[in-house]
Amino acid sequence: MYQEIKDYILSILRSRLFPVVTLFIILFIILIHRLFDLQIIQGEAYVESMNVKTEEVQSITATRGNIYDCNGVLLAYNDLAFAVKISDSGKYSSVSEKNKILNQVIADAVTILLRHGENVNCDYPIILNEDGHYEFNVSDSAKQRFLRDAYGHRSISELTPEELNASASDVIDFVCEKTYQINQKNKDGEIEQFYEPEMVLYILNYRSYMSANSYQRSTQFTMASDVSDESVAEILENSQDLIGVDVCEEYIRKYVDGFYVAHILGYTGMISSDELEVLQEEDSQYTASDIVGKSGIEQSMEQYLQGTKGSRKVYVDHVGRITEVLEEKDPIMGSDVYLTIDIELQKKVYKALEQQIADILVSHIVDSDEQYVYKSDGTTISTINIPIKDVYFALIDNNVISMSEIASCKTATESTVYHSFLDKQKEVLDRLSTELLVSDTDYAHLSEEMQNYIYTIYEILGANGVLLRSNIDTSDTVYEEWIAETISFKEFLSYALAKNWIDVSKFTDSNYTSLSESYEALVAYILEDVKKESSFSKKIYKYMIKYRSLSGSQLGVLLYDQGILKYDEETYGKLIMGSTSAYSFMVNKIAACEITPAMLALKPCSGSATIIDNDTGRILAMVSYPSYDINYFSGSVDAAYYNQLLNDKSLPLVNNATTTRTAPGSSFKMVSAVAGLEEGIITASEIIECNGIYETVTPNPKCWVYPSRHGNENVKTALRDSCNVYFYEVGYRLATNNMTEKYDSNRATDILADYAKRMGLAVTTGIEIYEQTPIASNENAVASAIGQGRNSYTGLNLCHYVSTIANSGVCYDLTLIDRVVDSSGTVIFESIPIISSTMNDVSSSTWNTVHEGMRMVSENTSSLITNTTVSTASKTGTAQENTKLPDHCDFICYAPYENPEIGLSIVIQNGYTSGNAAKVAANILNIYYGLSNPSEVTTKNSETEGTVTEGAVAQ
Amino acid sequence: MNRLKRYHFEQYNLLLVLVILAIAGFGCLMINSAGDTSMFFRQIIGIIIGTTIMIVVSLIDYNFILKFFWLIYVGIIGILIFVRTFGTDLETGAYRWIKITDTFSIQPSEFVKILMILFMAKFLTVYREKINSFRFLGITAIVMGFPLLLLYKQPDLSTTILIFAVLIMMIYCNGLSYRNIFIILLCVIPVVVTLFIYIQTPNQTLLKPYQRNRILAFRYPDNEEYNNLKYQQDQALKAIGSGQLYGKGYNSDDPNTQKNSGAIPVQESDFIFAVIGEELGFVGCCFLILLLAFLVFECIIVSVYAKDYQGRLICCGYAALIAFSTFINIGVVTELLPNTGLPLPFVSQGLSSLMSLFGGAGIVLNVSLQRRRRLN
Repeated sequence: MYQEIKDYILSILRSRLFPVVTLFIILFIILIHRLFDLQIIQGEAYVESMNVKTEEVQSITATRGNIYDCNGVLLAYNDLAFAVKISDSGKYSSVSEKNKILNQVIADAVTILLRHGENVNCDYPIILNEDGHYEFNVSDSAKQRFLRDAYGHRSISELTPEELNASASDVIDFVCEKTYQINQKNKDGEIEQFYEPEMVLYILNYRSYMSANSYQRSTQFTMASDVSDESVAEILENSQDLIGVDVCEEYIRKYVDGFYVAHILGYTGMISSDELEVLQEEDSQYTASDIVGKSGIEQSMEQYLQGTKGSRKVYVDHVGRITEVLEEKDPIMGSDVYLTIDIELQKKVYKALEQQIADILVSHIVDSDEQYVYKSDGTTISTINIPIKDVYFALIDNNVISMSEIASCKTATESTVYHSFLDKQKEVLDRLSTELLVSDTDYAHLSEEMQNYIYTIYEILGANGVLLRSNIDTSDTVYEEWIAETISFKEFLSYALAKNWIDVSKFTDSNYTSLSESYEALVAYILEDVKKESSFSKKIYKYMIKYRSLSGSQLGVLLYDQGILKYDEETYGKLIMGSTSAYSFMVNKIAACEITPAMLALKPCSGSATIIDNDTGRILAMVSYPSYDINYFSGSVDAAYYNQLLNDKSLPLVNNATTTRTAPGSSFKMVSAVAGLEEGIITASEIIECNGIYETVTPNPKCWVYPSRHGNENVKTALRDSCNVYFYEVGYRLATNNMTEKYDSNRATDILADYAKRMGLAVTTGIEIYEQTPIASNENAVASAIGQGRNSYTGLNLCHYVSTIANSGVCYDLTLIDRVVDSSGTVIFESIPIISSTMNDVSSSTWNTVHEGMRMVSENTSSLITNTTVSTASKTGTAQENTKLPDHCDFICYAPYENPEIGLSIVIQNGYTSGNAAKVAANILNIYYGLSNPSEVTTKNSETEGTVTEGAVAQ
Repeated sequence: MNRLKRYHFEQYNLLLVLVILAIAGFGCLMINSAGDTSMFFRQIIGIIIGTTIMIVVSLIDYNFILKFFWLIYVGIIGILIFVRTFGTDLETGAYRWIKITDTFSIQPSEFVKILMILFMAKFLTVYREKINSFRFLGITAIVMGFPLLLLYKQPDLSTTILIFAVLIMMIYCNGLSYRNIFIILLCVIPVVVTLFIYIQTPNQTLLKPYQRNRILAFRYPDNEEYNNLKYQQDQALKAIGSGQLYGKGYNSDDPNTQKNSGAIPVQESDFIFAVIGEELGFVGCCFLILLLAFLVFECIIVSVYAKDYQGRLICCGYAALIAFSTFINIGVVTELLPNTGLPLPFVSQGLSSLMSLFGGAGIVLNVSLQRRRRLN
């Protein structure tokens, strides 16, 4: 018995199964031990870690300070507005249910918001292009990071080559199918809920936000800021279905009269990572979700406006929900900034400048096709006209009349116009097809119209990356021939194909073996593609206008149809009947500024006007024309508006007062006069004879009065007459150290630049917003002395300069800030006049001479004296940039002459003559001094004819 | 039919069937809690089909099946090559699946587990007397190595290791002498150590980057670089730990649970045990582990009474498969092992795994049906 048991045990021990079973038992014991450890021993700790209320300090943003004008008129403030936010707060029994509910909630909320015309935030890196195709909105590393997230990888290196090269629609298909189940078929093969491509992007946008923040599920994402009460009401009505969608109150930056001070105030926006880095260095309270000033005063006064953040100590649970508020520290509101600008003056100056530019246009628009009137030699342009057809076309070219709205055919005229457009388009494409496939005409021998079309296509091919400009060898003979217009477009394209200057993959999938097949595919692509290209459609409209298949009356009707002009039954009826002249209709609307120069973006369409206080350097008004409405930039930036601004040919985003530099022309001559007198190379009474041409240097520069002559001039009369020969001589004498040395241009330009700096012209002015650095000429002493050469200054520089002249050399730093007042009403910063330089070494007789010379200018400028009774000292300037475009003009003055208070500068780009600038200056002086405008009775024609003008000098 | 008559149906191992159904039913309920109802119904259908397969297979003489063992081998290779060529990665980067419809795909490596056990059982039996010759061991290594290499290349490292461990166990049971084991270990241990050091070097080529990272994340839990890999395991750990003794209750709708806050990825398949731990606590976990252990030992008992050698090896292999899968799965979920995706046998959602396990159980049942009479 004992033996039996012993044998049995031994057999078990010897059995191979015994160790196996032992191993299994050990494994199971390990597992149970581990579970015991986790659940029984550490269980309590795990429960606590889940229930733990994490203490968190949240910051509370301070209300941004207001901005006021010098009289305490409110310019920028914060308005309590509703924002719609969304978070993933639902509870779902499955992933597919979560997808279904969340997608639907996002779509419903977006639909409601869009229906009420709200701007719904969407910065998904894929957008829908004009043709309704998906395309990437980002590139390089940003795109790779997006792809990494979209394909669910942890790092970019895990992306496969196919994923890296995936098209935008591939990515959309992938995430719609695999990740968020959008537009997917269910088991019955049906799509339960179909979303349009645009909606798909919105859904993906918010779903990807939520995914990225899934560890903090309570995070809210702003769908729309500053929404209307109607939107709020509808969102709240549907709140039972809109799980996770929340209406919150938040402050949004609003601007009163933001249109007139857009360039000065700037705007606010979400802080960028670069800005965060810079701001955090000064102030550690900034975080990645802050709203900060992005440009202008909003940016430069950021430290005052931002205020001090408050904080809130709270308990949050393990998914980030606030369970308890422990303590709260209120934020301190930002300080208020008071500007030196007088908003009433600013508005009036803006309108006066706009009216003047409109008047210039009106006086040059002709009811003919003749753009240039030539002098008797047949080559020199004497007059530049604006043919009325250019005005018509400008309405389309600058997107005032929308081509896409015409295509929508909502009105009878739109429909008629669109159909004649389609006819014209077909005809043009047929002609192009014949030309590209059969005729093969040298570019130079094409009609002007065909040249225009083909050149546009050439540009489009480059822009679309079909023609690889970087591959082109510019020294290639065929390319040179193409540029010289001696070969046909077909020859050029065929050659480009052969040379691999063309990316064949852009228009064909198959690898054609023969060149001719590739060429045919390219032509087919071109003929199809140009239908979508707005630049090409614009050319078609251009020639429809030229050949009268689109009339001025029709365009007039379209202006009413598309809501650009306010409906006026009488005029509208007349236009429809054709019983009014489209020419006079258009001219009247421009004269009345209902169609503004900015809308047309013809030449001229831009300018600036600046007024400063001579005794303090305070800027009283600084207008940049054209402007834009900064309210669209607050909260969620209105993308459509921003795009419109970017594409506007009148460049409204540019601050013409502080960043647009032009050659000053003759207004520079005071620098030469002061330099000449002080360096002792001329005396106040010295006579220099003007023969109309300056023969000391070759080629001989001419006076503007040539072929006439000024005769004997002293420095004052030379300023009065703006005599170029006199100042050429000054430049020449400076260069030769009054004829004692060899001609050295640098010697003169160094002296001129030095005086230009000390007179406040060639220096930055010290204003609180961005300004371009002026350029003093460093070449061609003779030309530089009359403000040409490389001289280039902003309107602000000119104003700084004229004010320094008025102060006899006392140059103040300019400022836009009057004072800063903190939230308790204490003035924490007050601007005091800062004298940046004086010119004590300049004798008072020199100043008197210059002042008297400038006074004589005022007395001789008829557009000034007929328009204002304010006594001034002034100087005009014109600068020719291109013989085919009107000259730039400027006008600077100080007033009153006897006891100077203000300095004023006007610059009108392509403003024809300085008399035009002088006239608006006169109007502005009247506005400033509260005088009525004596010229209001005179007719337009007499004004323009009576202007003293000066010509440009051909060098 | 003659064969059927030879079976002594009073020997049909109902206990084994009941244990399996208990485990599968348990899993089903947990899927209901962790996933959605469609998964639940899929799993129920899976169990019904699986049980049918198990019963049908249990009536087929395993000796008959094993006659075609080389054909099985060819089949294994065929399947693996087929997956390699025509398989899909279901966007995961690993080509392990064959897509049947949009919502249904087969994972052949699950079937390879059982088929390899069958093949090796016969192979080792046929050449049993040569087991201690090194020439035979070399051949065995090659025969075993080829399909494992294909699996490894899918890549499916965890299944490769699992099958390898099961097969080693079978070779051991086949009577490999301790002397030879000692010699083999002497050779293998330095190689393994070298490999382990090698895979930690940054430019190693043996493992895919994600495989290496998972291992390193486990080895260096405080290293930031690998830390997010451990996120899944950490969340599972919180869930299990906070379950304590009795858990938070089956199908809890408390939004604060790890399950309901969606913190545990794939909680219905590879990480189902985390939900079990959270909702049913230590008691529920032990219950499931004991059920699985019971299944393992029941298979061992069947193997003891198997009428022939190949039957014994099949049962040992099957027992090892269940034991190792359980250990690896729960080990991963409780952070005893590096993160890897292996299903918990009969519990995790996944039809391929379920079918294959039921099929294997059918063969074990047949072995049991033909067993020697007990010696009392």
